[in-house]
Amino acid sequence: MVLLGLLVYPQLVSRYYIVLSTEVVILALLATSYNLIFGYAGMVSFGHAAFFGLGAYAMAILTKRYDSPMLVGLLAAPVVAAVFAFVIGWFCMRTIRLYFSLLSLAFAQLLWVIVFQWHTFTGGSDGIQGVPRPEVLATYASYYYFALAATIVCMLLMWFIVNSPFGWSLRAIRENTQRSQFLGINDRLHKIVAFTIAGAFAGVAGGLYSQFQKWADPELLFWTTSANPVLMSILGGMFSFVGPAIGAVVFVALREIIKVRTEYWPLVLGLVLLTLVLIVPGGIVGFVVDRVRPLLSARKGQTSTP
Amino acid sequence: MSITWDVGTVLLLVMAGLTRAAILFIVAAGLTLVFGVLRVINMAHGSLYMIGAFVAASVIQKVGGTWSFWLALVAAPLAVAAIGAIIEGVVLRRIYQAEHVVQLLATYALILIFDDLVKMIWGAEYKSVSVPASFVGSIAIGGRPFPIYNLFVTAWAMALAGGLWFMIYRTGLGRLIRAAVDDAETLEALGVNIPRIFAAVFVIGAFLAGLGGVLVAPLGSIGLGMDVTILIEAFVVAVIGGLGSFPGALLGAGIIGMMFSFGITVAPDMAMAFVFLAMVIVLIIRPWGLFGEPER
Amino acid sequence: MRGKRGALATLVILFSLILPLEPAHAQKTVKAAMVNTSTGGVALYGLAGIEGAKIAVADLNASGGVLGRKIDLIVRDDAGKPDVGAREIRDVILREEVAVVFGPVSSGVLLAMSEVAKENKTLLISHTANTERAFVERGHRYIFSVVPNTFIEGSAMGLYMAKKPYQKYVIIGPGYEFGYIQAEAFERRLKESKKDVEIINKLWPKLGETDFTSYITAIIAAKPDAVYSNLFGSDLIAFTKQAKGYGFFEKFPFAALYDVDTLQGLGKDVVEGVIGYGRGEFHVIRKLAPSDRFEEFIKKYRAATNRYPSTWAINAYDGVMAWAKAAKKANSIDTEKVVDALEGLELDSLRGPGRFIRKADHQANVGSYIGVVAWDKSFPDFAIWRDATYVPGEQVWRPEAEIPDIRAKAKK
Repeated sequence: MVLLGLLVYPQLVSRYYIVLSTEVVILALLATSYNLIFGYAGMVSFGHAAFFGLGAYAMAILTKRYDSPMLVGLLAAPVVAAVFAFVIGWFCMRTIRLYFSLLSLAFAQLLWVIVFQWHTFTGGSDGIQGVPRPEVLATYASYYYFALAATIVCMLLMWFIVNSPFGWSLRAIRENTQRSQFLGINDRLHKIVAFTIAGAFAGVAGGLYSQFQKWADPELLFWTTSANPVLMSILGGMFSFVGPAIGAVVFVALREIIKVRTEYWPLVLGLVLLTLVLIVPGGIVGFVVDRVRPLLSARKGQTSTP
Repeated sequence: MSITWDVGTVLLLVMAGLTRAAILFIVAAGLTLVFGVLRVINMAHGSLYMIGAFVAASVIQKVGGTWSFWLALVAAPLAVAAIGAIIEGVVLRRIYQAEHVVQLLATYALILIFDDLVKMIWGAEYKSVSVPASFVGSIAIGGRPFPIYNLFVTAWAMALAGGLWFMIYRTGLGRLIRAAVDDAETLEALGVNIPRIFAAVFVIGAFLAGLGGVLVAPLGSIGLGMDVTILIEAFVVAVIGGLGSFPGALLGAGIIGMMFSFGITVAPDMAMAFVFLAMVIVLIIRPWGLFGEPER
Repeated sequence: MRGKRGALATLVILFSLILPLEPAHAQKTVKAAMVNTSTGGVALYGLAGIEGAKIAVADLNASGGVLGRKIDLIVRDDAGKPDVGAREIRDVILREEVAVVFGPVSSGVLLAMSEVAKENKTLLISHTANTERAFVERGHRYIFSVVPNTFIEGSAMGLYMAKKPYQKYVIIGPGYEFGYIQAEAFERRLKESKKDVEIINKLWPKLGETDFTSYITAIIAAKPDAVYSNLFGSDLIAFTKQAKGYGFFEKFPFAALYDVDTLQGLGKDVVEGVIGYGRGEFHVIRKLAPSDRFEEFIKKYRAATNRYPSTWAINAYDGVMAWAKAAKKANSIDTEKVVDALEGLELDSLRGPGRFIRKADHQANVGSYIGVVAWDKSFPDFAIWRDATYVPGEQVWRPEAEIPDIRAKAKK
């Protein structure tokens, strides 16, 4: 039913909303990919934007400079992102908690610098302009449908992964690493694989994004962009599958509503975020409580509820 | 690319690197101090630095004259320290026990808020502050002119390093701080007012950030966005030196300052990349940095 | 399924909140947008442009607007970033349905905005950003320039410096589109005009850099005969202040974009004797092409901002006036008709008579202003230039014959 709504609605509204919705759809994909490692595996990465950006650049460079067809770019984007995600993931899994977050941030910044400085290959601070789009997808509406279709396919894939034995192992690892190790789960390998998969889907989102905007820009890899999927996952609820997607809708809607009223929308966003983090229970507090409760019940010898 | 490598050139690059290291140290010291004692990474540390610079610019422009810089040197860090006290009471106190991601997000929210507040109060244009009259001009080092003001900044940083060292290792407050780092719970059981110490440390950290902002003001342009740039750089310095370690901040600042100075001369396109690469390597091989200790 | 239904409900509520964002359609006014930079390093120039455009719109509205309709100027900030600029221009085109957009400061942003203008067939007039690539390689029907492009500017400076005896150059400029492309044009014309010139090093600090110390020391270490730069605005202010302490300007002849905004920003920190160039310096125009209309503009600008107008304000005024004149000539606001009218249009430019827009690359034949920075009794607060000259655009712009080839190669 929701699906029907999403399909019909472009016929009813102006091009402005179609463009907005396309952005929401792509960001929903990005946020969901992030939640694979954040919500399901309990890893707080601050460098996820790097894979988004790499996917965007892979698509942009292949289609613009090497005249590849768009579908090749769309397949290459997740592959490129996955390769980097695997390498970075392998190194990151050797560290824990805070240092994991810092290392993911450091790697992302390193990639940003390389993209920013290597202007002969990546266009440097100007990025890559004029990414070509196939004729059949030239209108805003047609691209919306394409992005929607791609996102739905990816979401279904992620849904299967999350509900597979692999996905359950991830949850177990998140709850209690030691116990899962005793159960024979190779937690490091699982986490690296999860990180790689998440990176790959972020890459797809990036590829879709650069086709959508028709440019790729180093800002996509900067650490402040990495904050967005984190925000969206928390806003929408990181323990449900559709949570991050909802978070994406909320984030964009909030941004648009505020922007019309004032130019100081980062201020409002900051205040909302701060309030959410400090005062509103459930989201953040629940996150904290959920961390503590399984540890307590594990000590008492009970199984933890996912 | 032709560079004539003579003693004069090397000396110049070293001095320039030291100036950069001086600012990095002052800012990173605050960041690392706050982490060492409070176990919080304050993302808004760069914003405090930026506010310090803007306040200094306003003071210098409004008051004018040769004394205005000295006035700014006192007023701006104090103003920033006051803001720090407010942040500590309203925001930080609630999240000391929370997960790091919560702290990072809360302080990130502060960046958003402060950026816009600065824009609202000071406008969006970049500001420019002149070098104070007492320090105009150059002094010959190795036969080449070097700005006197930069020497002043470097000297200040060294004095500050000495002062902080004295405070931490030779005074009562310093002893309390070190004890709080080691074992806050026992200290509290002994009747020490931990929240007061935490607040004091955060205010000192904010003061340092503001001080960095004032000192850097005559060196370049003051504008929105300088908070994000310095934050990343101070982060790198603090991580390499070891989060929570104050001698680490000193060494880290020195290394990064030199990397920038020599890096841009030798390989300008890659200088920034080397800096992040250093951070990555340290985090992989020795995450707690050169002088830090593994997190318990 | 409760989660899904809750999700749907949330979606519906959120979208119904945004719907009131649709603006009411007003037929009495015509909307024009300026997407410029009001925050960030180049805000100096963006704000000047916004002010200049506002004065132009006020002037037009005072005499009835354009074709009887008052102009409603919408101003947006691109923060100097291509992604923000692209988003803002798409917003004003789709949501506000503007008739024309006036261009950004940054050449990188211009390229991004240009794509959006092209795909939506909306008129875009650039009055500050000047990378030639936006008008030739990536040029299209809907983009126009009333500012000397990088080819004109770089070539004018190449010719100027070729007359000097310097052989070894270091080039330092902001590491983005404008920096690279303009330096390319400079280097090409310099080498064409003078044999035995060598560019021994090129440095590209990022746009918005605040600490140039390492670059300064690198240049000192390289020991060139002269230094050419296309640094500008806050970057140039910071660079000048920092380089002074190293005795930089005593050692090296230096040329950079010392325009009026930069000089006003530097104030007493300026260095005399350096070469400055720009795209419309009021103090030069006053000498070479004075007019009452220009003095009127200066007066209005000073009343509004308490500063003297820089070239960015002057060019923005020219840009708005160009559009208005074209609309009047075409007797329509319709983009296609206005575009046709703009091609070959003779401009009533504040910078002087004889300016027109050529069809080949939609470039106006506006040229470069060059001089030497020096204090002048009539301006106690900031330095201006002496020995100033004007190089007309048609003397140094790209020969029309070359344009089709470049475009063909770009399409490939």
